[in-house]
Amino acid sequence: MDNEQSEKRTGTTLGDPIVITEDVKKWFGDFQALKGVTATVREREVVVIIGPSGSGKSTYIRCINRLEAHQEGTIIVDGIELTNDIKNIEKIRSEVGMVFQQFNLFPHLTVLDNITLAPQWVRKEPKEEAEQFGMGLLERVGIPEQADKYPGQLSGGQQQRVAIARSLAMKPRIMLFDEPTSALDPEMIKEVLDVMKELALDGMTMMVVTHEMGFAREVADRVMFFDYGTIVEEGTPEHFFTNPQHDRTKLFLSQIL
Amino acid sequence: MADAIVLPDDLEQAPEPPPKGAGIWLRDNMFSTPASGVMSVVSVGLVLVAYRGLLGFLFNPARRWDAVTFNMKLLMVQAYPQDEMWRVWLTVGIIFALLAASFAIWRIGGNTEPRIVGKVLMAMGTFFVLGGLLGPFTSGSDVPDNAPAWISEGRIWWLAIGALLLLGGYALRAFTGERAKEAMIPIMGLIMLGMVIGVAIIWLVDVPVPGKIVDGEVITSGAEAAGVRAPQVKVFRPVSETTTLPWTVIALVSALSYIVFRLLRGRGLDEVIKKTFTTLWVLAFPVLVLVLLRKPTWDWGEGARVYLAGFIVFAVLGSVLLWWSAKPNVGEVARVVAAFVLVLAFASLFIQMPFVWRFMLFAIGIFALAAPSFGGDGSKGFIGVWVGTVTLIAFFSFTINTVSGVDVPGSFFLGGLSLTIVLAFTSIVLSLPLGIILALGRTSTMPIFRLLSTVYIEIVRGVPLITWLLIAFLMLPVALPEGIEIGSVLRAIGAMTFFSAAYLAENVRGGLQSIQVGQREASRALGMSTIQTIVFITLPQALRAVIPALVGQVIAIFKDTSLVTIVGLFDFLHIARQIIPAQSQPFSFLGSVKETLIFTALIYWLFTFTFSRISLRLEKKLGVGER
Repeated sequence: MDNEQSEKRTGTTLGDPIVITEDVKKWFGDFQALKGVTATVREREVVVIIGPSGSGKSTYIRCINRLEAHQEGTIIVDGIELTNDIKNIEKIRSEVGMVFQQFNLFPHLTVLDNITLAPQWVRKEPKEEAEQFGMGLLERVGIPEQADKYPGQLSGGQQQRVAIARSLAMKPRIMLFDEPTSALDPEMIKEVLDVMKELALDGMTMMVVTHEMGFAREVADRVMFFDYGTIVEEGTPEHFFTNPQHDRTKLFLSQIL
Repeated sequence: MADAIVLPDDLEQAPEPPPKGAGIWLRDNMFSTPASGVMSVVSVGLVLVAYRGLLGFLFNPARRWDAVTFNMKLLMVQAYPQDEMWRVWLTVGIIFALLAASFAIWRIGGNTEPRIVGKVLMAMGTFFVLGGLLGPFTSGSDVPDNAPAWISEGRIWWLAIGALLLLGGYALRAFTGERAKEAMIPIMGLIMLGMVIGVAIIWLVDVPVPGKIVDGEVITSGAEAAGVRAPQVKVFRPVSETTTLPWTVIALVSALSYIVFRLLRGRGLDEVIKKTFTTLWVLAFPVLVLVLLRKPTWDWGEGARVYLAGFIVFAVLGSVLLWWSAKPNVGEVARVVAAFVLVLAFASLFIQMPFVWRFMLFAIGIFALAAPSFGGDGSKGFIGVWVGTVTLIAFFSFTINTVSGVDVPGSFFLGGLSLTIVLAFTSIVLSLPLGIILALGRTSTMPIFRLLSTVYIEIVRGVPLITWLLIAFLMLPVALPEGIEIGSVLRAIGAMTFFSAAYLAENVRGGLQSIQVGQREASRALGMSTIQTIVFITLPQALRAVIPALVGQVIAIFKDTSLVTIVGLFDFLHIARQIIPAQSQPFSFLGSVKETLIFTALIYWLFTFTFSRISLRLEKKLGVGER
């Protein structure tokens, strides 16, 4: 990547490469979901991944914290190569936060317990410390008053904000977002995107699979367009939305914009 | 544009539902179509006929209810020595006091509307009135000379009580509207009222007891009547003199316990009290049964040599091992060491040593294996759990391995309902963890674990419980190495535990499979290990989801305990069905099996009905089905 690009749109500067994927291939049975994906993400960079459904974009970011195991190629996260070694995987997972389309909050725990569970048992933080930090995160996502409620009592947007806080509680170096707003009612999408935008401004490294083109235009440092299990085109949002090169990209953008 | 929309500032009231008369209710609910009319008439007719038959059976002068009342102690605790009966009463008292306190602490109960209480009262009143009208009450020459007035004048009494209940119920039901919303009736108050009525009944109401006429005088006590050849009669006395006072004291203590903990609520002690009572409940059953009721004759020398020594060694060395294993930087080495300890535990099976030491070796191996997952800041708590566990192991194996000081004729110190409860409760408590492990095994990705669990479940479920009981009694003694003997009650508990664990495992597996894959993914994405994901995420949700099935299994085990009669244990049903109908001394109850069976059915039903009510409450409280 060129040095001229290191000046971020969000104001922070890009650092060293933190996620390196090289020729990553992945099959589900006979179906090849990823056909050799090569990309590098640098510290503090915000990468937005778009593409039609079934294009492999979700599979790709799920490979980065090994919720899916890739079969060929290499993935290096924060200097550690992802292999079958379970210790490496758990180490990487505690460095990489993930936010899911369906929130996947733990319904039997209160909001605060959702947030403090992993720091206590994975990071071995004392309970008071974890709770203090967790309350801070809830304030950051704007819902400290919901701490003692259960996820089922919150709206979709609030749940997704809790899910973001839960990931942040592990003090991750990278955040992965797998279509974070796709399951939300339209009036709740903005509150989640605002939280994500703030996170980007704070310098978090983010990989976001989304259909929110506004977010991509405003926040992304780089946009990747996935189709048929490979990166068809990538570039800055300006380049991407104003001057796409590839026919597939043009067609996709014409359909959704 | 928002201000262009005018929102109505007061909402319209929903219209009052039109008042419903009895005629309209009947038309809507019983005679809406010709078919439903026929079905209503037929089913009401059947209920009335069955009710009349039941009353006729219950109040037939030929019924020997004194077979139940006279043998109440036999039915409850079999031949428990009379001068040790305080142990039984103390046990019952402690359980009631604990229950009452827990009602206050965990806010069980709450309030109910007068309307609902009224409904229940009216339903009861209807049954009394119907009984008064339908009951084939004896009159004239059928009445035995010494029967109390309420049998011959029963009809009037039934009608009077029924009318009273109906009136009270109607008054409460009519009490609706705004005022009724404020006048909620606390359920706890109703329970206390029930207790007062219960105590009043055992003081005031006469029940039949057997007696003999000697020189024109009626003798009712068994000891005095023994050997006296005289015609046997039925007389009526208040509930056995020995139980009136204990029950009164228990009722008072329970009420007191409720009031004390109700007053203590919300004074900053709630957390401490809850923790204390959880511990008390966990300890209550083993301590009450093994120590208070069983009255072990401890051999303190042996206790110090084997159990105290084992406790000290394992508590100290185990804590050091766990503290080391839980340190964040030790990692994989800790698991290797834990595996080595488990190998040692298996090796100990081939070396002469007290059984309890082997048991402790296995326990520390398992704890050490789990330590890296649950250590960290929680490692203090984890070591605490270990010391607690090793204390319990040492104490209870010491207690079990001493002879019971209760002087009873049979091999076990309890019989009747108390044996049934001990069998059921122990099997349930032991089979739950085993069932969970089997369920995890069957859903596990480890092939050996999965295969073993599947084979176990399929074999155990495929053979009837009676067969397993017979195997435990006839074949196990042959298979065991010489010198090891397992008591008959333990063998029955073992058979029932292993049997019900297989069923519980399938229930829990259903729960595990109902959990969305996203839960596991979210947990793994947070860096939690497989075992942490199971303990904190999947298992709690799985157990919640299958509470109804688990309670069903608990009820099944409770009722299945009656099968132990086949291997010669004196459980509740065995005493009711075999022992009492064969009694001829001091009073003859030959053939009075109908009465005892009705009584056992009632008691079994009371227990199982309570279980299912508790399960309903638990479901509501834990929010099953509202994700």
